[in-house]
Amino acid sequence: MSDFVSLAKCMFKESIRNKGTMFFTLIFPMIFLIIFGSVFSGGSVGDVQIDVGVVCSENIRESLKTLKGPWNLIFYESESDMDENKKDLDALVWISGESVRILKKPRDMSNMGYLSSFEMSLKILLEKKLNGVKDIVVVRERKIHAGGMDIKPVDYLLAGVIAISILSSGMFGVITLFSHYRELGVLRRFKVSPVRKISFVLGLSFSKFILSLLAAFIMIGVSIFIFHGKYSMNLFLFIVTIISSTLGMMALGIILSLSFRSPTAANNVASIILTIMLFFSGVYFPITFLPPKLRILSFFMPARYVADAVRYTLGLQSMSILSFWLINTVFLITGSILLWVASEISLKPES
Amino acid sequence: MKKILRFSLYLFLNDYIRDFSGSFWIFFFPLILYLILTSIFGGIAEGENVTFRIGVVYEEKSTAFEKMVSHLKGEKVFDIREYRKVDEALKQLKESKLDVVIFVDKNLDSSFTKAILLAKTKMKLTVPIDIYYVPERTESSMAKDVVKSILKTIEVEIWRSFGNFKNVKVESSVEEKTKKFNMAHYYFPAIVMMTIMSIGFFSIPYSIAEKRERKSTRRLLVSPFGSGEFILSVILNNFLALLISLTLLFSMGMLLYRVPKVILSSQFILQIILGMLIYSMIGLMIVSLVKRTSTISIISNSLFQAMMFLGNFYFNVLNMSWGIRWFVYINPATYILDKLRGTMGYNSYLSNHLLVPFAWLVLSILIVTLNFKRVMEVE
Repeated sequence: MSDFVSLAKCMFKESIRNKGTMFFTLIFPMIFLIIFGSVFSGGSVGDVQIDVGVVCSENIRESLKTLKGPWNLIFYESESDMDENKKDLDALVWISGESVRILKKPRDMSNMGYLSSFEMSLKILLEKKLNGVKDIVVVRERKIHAGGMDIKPVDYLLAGVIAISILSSGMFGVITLFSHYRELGVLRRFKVSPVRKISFVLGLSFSKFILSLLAAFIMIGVSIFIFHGKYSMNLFLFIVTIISSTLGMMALGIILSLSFRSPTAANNVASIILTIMLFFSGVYFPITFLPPKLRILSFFMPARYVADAVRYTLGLQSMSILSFWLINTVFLITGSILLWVASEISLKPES
Repeated sequence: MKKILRFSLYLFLNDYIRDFSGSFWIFFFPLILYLILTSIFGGIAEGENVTFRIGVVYEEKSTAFEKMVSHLKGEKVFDIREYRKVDEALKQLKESKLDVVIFVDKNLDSSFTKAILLAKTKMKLTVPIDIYYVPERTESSMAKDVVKSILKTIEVEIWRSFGNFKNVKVESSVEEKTKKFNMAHYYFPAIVMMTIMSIGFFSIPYSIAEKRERKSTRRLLVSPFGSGEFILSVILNNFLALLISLTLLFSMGMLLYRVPKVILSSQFILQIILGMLIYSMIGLMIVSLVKRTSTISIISNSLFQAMMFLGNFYFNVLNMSWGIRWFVYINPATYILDKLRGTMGYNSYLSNHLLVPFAWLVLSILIVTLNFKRVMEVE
């Protein structure tokens, strides 16, 4: 027990004294949190405004003003007037009786989507006006909050960012630590010391849990402070999620460290894995937007499950308790087995 | 000059050929990222990839209901699932297994008939349809908007069936320069910029800082090889790496994604050179201000991520609040990328593309010149 406590203490101290480790564990995820939090704080990217130039008759103008959306309709008296200002417009529209001409000038992806939506809404509006169509269908929007709390899109996103940071600090932390220990010859010294393998693994894991917890709480604090995030945390389940996911990702980090002798190669492969996870886990981009074939890939991304579990423990998403424990048990068991295998290999006496 | 070229080649072999990490980040990572981005977003602009999972709850099947579902099924973006109980569908919605739930009243047929009959008179009756969605989930909000606009077309369809309907003819076109919005083309300049920034923020400062930590720069200073020649060699070495990286990227873009030949135009190439000059100087500026490699790594990583995500690389950030938008405007990458995209035919967001990048260039040259002794650790 005492060797575990001493090792955990040493490894924790070693981590907090290392500027790089502290930066990449605590500060780096915060940069992402602030960037993505600011970018997506409006539900979409900020307050979108699509400038649409319109040339139409006076009676159509009033109807067009009822169009709901991010459109900033700028009315011109003539085509030549609009032509003079076309540089600053996202779309140019000419309406004459029953015919409409639209010239779209896409600037980016979201812009193109909004312009297609504008085209559809405009057609419906004009056909309704021309034919005196009465409203028959009234669509009532009913908001449902998956976690039962009235939260903003940014809260949901930030929970995913927290999950990604737990995963990256678990994986990269171990790779950096192992390469560092290998370079300094610390692992060799452990081999000739009476330290038990289990104490080494537990000490390493414990120091990482503490760091991950610290990082997660700081991030939650920052998101509450800056983005006024609302969380209804189940502390026990949150800690369980952090422990299991850190363990799982540490194991992946150790496998990479052992598979590649060069620490840079291990780091590179880990970076590719993390990049793939960022895009295919549904944290930054909804899985619904992925091509069907790539959607299957998301089922193999640990980040997807950790993000769901983190959201659940923060009261942002609904999940059956069985699914929650299944996710955590899988992470705990695979993480423990892989860590045990890793300790057997890395601390095996040299022949 | 010969000395510089030989030393550059030596540095290139050392930094990029012998070191897998160097070649990975500069030569291969941009290609991997480009492949990932185009795989994910390739069809988004056309709505090809998106599939919204729609739960339709009916208490009683009716003709109007069948018509509504077939209307929705006509859109390939929907994956329609039918439910008999609203609670069951809402549970799936809360667990992210559905994007929206449409609830249809059991008296839909009679309500619809009455509403249609009254619509021809001065009286008015409406048929309510409930759409449940989760506002915090982007895909759910988007699905709600799409479903809502499609449901609103139903009444237009009903009117059309009455006859004597005036159809509105929409002639829609995309500006000639960007005939078909292609994500692979749109992301191409972003990947080019990311590669330039990787060299500026990581390769150049790390290369100098590592040599400084190993005291190699001090040894160089007592050799006939001057400090200016050393810096020039470092920059040339990285220009060579960028040239190889961009050759790979351009080949991939043109052969695999048919990126237009305008990327080979002098205007496009000049912007790349300007970007390389600015980021090389920013890299040198970091080395001149910071001594330790670990601190350089922290600063470079922070600036790299901030300039990339707040530079209009992957999404429009010019609509953000001023609390963070100021950074977008002082970020040289925003301007260089906007100009690169402008050269490819996309409409520019900004007008003056030179002021901010040149301000960074002048500032970094000034700081490097003033701190030059610190770059080389001259005693």
